Amino acid sequence: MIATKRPAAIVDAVAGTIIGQRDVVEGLVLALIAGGHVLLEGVPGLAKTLACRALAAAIGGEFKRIQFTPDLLPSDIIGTRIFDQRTATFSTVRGPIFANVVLADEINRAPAKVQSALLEGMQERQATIGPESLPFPVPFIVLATMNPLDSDGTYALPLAQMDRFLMKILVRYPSRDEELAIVERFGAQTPPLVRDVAAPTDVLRWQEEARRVHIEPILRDYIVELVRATRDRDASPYVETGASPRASLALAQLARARALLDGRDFVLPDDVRSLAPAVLRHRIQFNHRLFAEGIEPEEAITRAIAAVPTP
Amino acid sequence: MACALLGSPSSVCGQQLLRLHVDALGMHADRSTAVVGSAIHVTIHLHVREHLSSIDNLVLPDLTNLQILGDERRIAQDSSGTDYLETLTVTGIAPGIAHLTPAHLDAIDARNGRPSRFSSNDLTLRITASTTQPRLFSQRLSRRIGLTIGGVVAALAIVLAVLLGISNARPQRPLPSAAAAAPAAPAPLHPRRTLETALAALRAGRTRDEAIQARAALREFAGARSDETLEALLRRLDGATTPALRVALRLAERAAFIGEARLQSAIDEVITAIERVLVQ
Repeated sequence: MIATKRPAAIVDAVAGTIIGQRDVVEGLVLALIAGGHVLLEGVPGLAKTLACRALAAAIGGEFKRIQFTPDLLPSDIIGTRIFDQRTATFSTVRGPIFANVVLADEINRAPAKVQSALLEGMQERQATIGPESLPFPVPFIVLATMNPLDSDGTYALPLAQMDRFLMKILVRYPSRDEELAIVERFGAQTPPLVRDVAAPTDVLRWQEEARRVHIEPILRDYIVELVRATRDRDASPYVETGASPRASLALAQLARARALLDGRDFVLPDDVRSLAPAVLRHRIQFNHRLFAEGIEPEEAITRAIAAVPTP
Repeated sequence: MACALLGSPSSVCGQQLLRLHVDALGMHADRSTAVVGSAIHVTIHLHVREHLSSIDNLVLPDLTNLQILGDERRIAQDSSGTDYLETLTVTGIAPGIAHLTPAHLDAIDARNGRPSRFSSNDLTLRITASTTQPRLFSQRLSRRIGLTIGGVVAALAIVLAVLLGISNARPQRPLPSAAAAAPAAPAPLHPRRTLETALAALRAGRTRDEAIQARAALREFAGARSDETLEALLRRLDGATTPALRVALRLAERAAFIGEARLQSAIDEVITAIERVLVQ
């Protein structure tokens, strides 16, 4: 095991497997430290699954992948009770959600009751199977992917359920040089995973350290103002429904995590500002003006954020 | 007013204007947005080459939609002249935009012998609706400015009395001879002077507020825009700043936001860093 057990080592380890996508990797580690879950949106083939596998390997945690399909049942995720004829008793079979890193692939392909089962588990961090309530392993993080294309036959997540994700990361195409490097390096082999850079207990320690990171009152004001700007008609003319106070909490948690990742025990305006788009983009419902005027949602969010002066 | 000019004959007093070399007259706030009830420090900085014991005819900005919680004045003389620093602690009354008109000073411009009006920059503050429960907020505000509610009331009464005095002492009337004089050019801002003043205040005060003011002055010195974070500023100025300035900007950021336990050591570091910037 590598002697340095700091969160930055996880970023380096995952980034060693994934070429480019540094922002995505950092986002995953920040959510891990902040103890939240992540929505990943991007077209297929951008190494989303690989990034999640690499994250689990780096923290020495268990990884499970659930491919969401229209015929999936809640018990396929949570688990079930099976009657054993030999012992004449019921035994519990745990579902794939019982892992440290759970990849919910194409979460919008399963119907609402399955999505709800996953989202309840994310919130409660435990599942009830028959008479037993079973806690999930710690740390626990759900990384859910959504494909922005192919929307036929999908079940869009309601805003209230999207709100439960700490952040939404957009996975973009790599640059030309990065794509060349991917072909050169991984063309003929599976990318190697860097394992056990840290242990799950280290992650728990980082989570505890992140909770102690200092936020000056002026930055708390800034966080609240940023979130409130999404509800302000002047600052956000393209927004129908703005972000909830849960967004303020998420932004504060993630800002603390970013400070810790950067080796600081205090939050800077940069931490807040840089994370605001990822915290806000899935918590906002846009109005018809956005589409009528051909404004990109990201541009509308950027304008809302820019309307709030940095402390 | 002119009576304040050290060594000047008393005949200069009265309606006559002081003959001054005004090097800097600027105004800045420690933040450009705040919720209703939250304290904002607006600092007016004046530097003249003459040695004055007081500045009496500086006209404060119009503070519509703002309530004054405190008014602190400092005057310091050195070989370069007189530095005057007036810090108004204000708070927004209602959500909206508070536009602070320029502070100004009427004087005979010693450079050309003409009566002139020296003006600072103006400021726009965004006052937003209260985001927390009023009671909690007022508690936090009181804690921040270190006053009890009774203290605040007393301070307000004093401030009101002072302001009445100021308004009597500084009637905003047209200049007797300025109308015929050439229009006055606004005095240029001197971020360096502002930074020196903020550094002096930080050395003396060593509080979080002074650290935030020093950070604001340093950002102004570096040419930061109001919506820029430090990383954005450093990216934009890539290669155009000295290493000393970059270090000072980072340390000022640290001193402004670090936890209380390590604030004093952070202030020590930023003082040294700003001194290095000013030496260059």
